[in-house]
Amino acid sequence: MNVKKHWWKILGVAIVGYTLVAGLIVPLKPGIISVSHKSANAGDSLRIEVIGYNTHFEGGKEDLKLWLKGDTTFFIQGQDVMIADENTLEVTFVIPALLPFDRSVVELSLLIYNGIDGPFILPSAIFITHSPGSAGVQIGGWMKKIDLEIGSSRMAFPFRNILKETIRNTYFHVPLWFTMIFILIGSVFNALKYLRTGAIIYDEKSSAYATVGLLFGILGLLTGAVWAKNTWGAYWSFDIKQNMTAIALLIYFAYFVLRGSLEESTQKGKVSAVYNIFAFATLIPLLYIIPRLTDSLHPGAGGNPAFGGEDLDNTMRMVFYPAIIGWTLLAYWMGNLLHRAQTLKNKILFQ
Amino acid sequence: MYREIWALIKKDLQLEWRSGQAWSSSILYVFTTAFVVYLTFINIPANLWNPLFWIIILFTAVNSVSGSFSSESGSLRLYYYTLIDPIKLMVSKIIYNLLVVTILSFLCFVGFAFITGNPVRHLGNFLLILLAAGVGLSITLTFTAAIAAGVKRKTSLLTILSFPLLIPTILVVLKLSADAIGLINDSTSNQDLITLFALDILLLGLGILLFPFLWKD
Repeated sequence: MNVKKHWWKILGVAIVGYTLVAGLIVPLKPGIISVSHKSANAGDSLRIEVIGYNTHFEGGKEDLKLWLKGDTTFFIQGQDVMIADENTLEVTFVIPALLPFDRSVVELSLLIYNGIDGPFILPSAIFITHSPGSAGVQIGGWMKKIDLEIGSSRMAFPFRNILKETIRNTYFHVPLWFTMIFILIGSVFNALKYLRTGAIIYDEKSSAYATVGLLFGILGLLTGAVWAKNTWGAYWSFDIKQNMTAIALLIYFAYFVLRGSLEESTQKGKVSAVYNIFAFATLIPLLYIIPRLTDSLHPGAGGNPAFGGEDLDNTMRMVFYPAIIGWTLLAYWMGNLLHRAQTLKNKILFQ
Repeated sequence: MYREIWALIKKDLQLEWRSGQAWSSSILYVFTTAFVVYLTFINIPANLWNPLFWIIILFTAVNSVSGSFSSESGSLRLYYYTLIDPIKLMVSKIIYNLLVVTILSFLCFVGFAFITGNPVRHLGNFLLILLAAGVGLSITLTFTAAIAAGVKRKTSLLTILSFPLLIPTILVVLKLSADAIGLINDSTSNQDLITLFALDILLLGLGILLFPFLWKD
């Protein structure tokens, strides 16, 4: 085997292997799954049970501290911590009668710190009702500032409340779609080349890439459905993104039906090349423009932020970007193999 | 340029007028479907009337446009090929089909409203939507009919090719017409209309750009 010529195949397999291993093995950062009370009144003494995930309450007992946090300068420290196990504890917060906020309902986040896990937070953990107008009143019971050392620097993926372990799907669902788009661009490029030159090899390549692109599209849809089951509640939620994706895949299925029903090879090449370009041009608005215009649960649609920014931290980038490259190389290889297999089949048939 | 397109449209119209067969069969198709739907449902509430009406329109449009590239025989096509610029042919076919689809959908509206009752509150808006839907349907269907022209099982292939492409149009149109019927109060209908026209323009541009390659066959 000529390694110089085939290095990219080895690279592709190695990267996909790496993303499979790293994407599934690296643990999540500690996080808070739930607290037993969601609301309280000012002046209450609130005893809550906190359930953590991947936390070390028992192990990091010595310097374990809990706060309720509002804005950046308001902290109430928890008292009488009782640890049940590594992931469960009970804590009391004495909420002062006067709070320095103008709003009548104050959203407080739960902040937990210990030496092993470092700081972690549950946003909007508890809602406090109080009578405003006491803003600026300086009464004890809360602190203005806390200092935390940043915890250990173990490699871990971020903990997001609804996503939890499904955050790993970022390395599969999203790169599969990227790969589909790349390989379909390859298919359209070959279709254009066929229309310009009329050489049958471009038509064969175009169809092989479209087959692989469709496969990746189906995989993207399936991984998306599994993700939707775990975060939205159902495999299919009549979400515009899911519906439009299904339509886009139907358009590509029609491409293969069209190819199957044409017999004469130049006509087949020409008609399917034209339809391929047409299908790709309608795929883009279906997948990326229409879902953005209406309500959708999907990130990047219906006014939701796209997945990225603060959700995609540096640890995730180390797996996410290689995954895109790895799957794309693999898809390109699959497309070429398919093309070669079809060429051989035709050779045998028309000998 | 306009004269040639007009001549082509006139030719199609005259051919249809003389034979009369396609027109009468399309009109009969519309009324029969509407009547069958009426007989199966009898009392049609407004929220059901809307999708049923558009499904009838969808099938009528596919049925009436499917023949638009196969009426000419092989030698006649070759003669046209030497004579006519493909873009003009495409444009004339789209305009002709727009005429057919709009007239048929208007007839369908009249017929369907006659037997099932008319739930439409904003008639002007509804007629505009009929026209906008006709534009979308005729552009997409003309292009897919051109693709499917050389194939044996033409009608089923046309359905497979065109339905997924038509779904966005139908969804937007359904929402708009639900607004015109008074089922929903939609404040974003302008945006929907813009989306619909943007889609139509995209399809039209692609159709015109790609048709010459098909025509060379």
